[in-house]
Amino acid sequence: MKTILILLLAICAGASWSQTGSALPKTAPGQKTEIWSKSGYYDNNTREQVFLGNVRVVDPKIILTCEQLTVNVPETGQRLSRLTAETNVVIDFVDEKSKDQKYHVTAAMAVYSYSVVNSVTNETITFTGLLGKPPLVDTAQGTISSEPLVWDRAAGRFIFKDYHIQLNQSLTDTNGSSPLKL
Amino acid sequence: MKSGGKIFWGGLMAVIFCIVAGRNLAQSLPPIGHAQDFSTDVYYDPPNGEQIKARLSGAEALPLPGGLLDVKQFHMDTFRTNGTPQVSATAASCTFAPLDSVAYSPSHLLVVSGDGSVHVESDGFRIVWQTNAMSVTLSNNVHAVFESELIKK
Repeated sequence: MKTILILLLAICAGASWSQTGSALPKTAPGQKTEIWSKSGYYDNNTREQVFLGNVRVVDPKIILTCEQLTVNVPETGQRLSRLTAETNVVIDFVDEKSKDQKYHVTAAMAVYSYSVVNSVTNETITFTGLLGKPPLVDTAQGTISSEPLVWDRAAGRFIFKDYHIQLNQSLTDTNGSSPLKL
Repeated sequence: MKSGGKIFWGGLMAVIFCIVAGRNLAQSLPPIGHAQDFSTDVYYDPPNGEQIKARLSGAEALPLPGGLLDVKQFHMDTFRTNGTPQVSATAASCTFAPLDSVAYSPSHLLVVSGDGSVHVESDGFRIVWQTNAMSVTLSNNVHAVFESELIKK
């Protein structure tokens, strides 16, 4: 299928953030990440740390809530390469590469993946939804649904497929005339 | 994940390993009777046989029916082969079942990485180990703190 790539900056440029999700913490870079959950387990056979029930992750730039978070524990000396959030995933985050643009994403599942292949860094978060309920990303400028919805962190952009955009902006300006110059 | 996180997870596995080694500790801990302020060291295999892998200590150890041990003020420190601290685990009490390869407790568990960069807490825990597989169950109210971002910016 045809995959359409849209630079989110092109959609959202020039507008300021209005609240679309929970409040992001006002923290400075380098501060701690905290994870809460009802329960959890670690299996050294699969090297998975799983947080279960009412999972909440608070990072200086990300707030994540879900019902299950699986951390694939890296080998010593290696970087965290995979995180999987499942069920009722809600993420509020700031993309520093997009002029600190803030986003509110809802999905059924989110998978963080990091790899370096032939000196090329691939770092993405892929959001997927349920049948008839695709992932949504909200910004002050509008809402976009896409299945899947991919946040390419390495490139600082979103990749949409079979997407639908709903802009919050009016097609008329304050004096009633159309801002569109045809 | 920052290096502290990697160290933490490596250390956590070391803790588990040492509890596996606890099957040997079962002979070190008092199988019969009552002990106070005990401490037991576990050493690395050769060629690091002079280095302490873990130090298990408790304020009190009481025998329970079925070959169990009730350890009060459970504390375990693990160390790397160069002697630097790896992980520290603390619980108010712990039931140790060496024959079943299980350690469990409803009490609060605190695990801290050697450099203090990662903390994991839980109300209640259960550790089960087999020959090639081990697992730690964090029962309730899990709270993990990484002193840096989990995902690098």
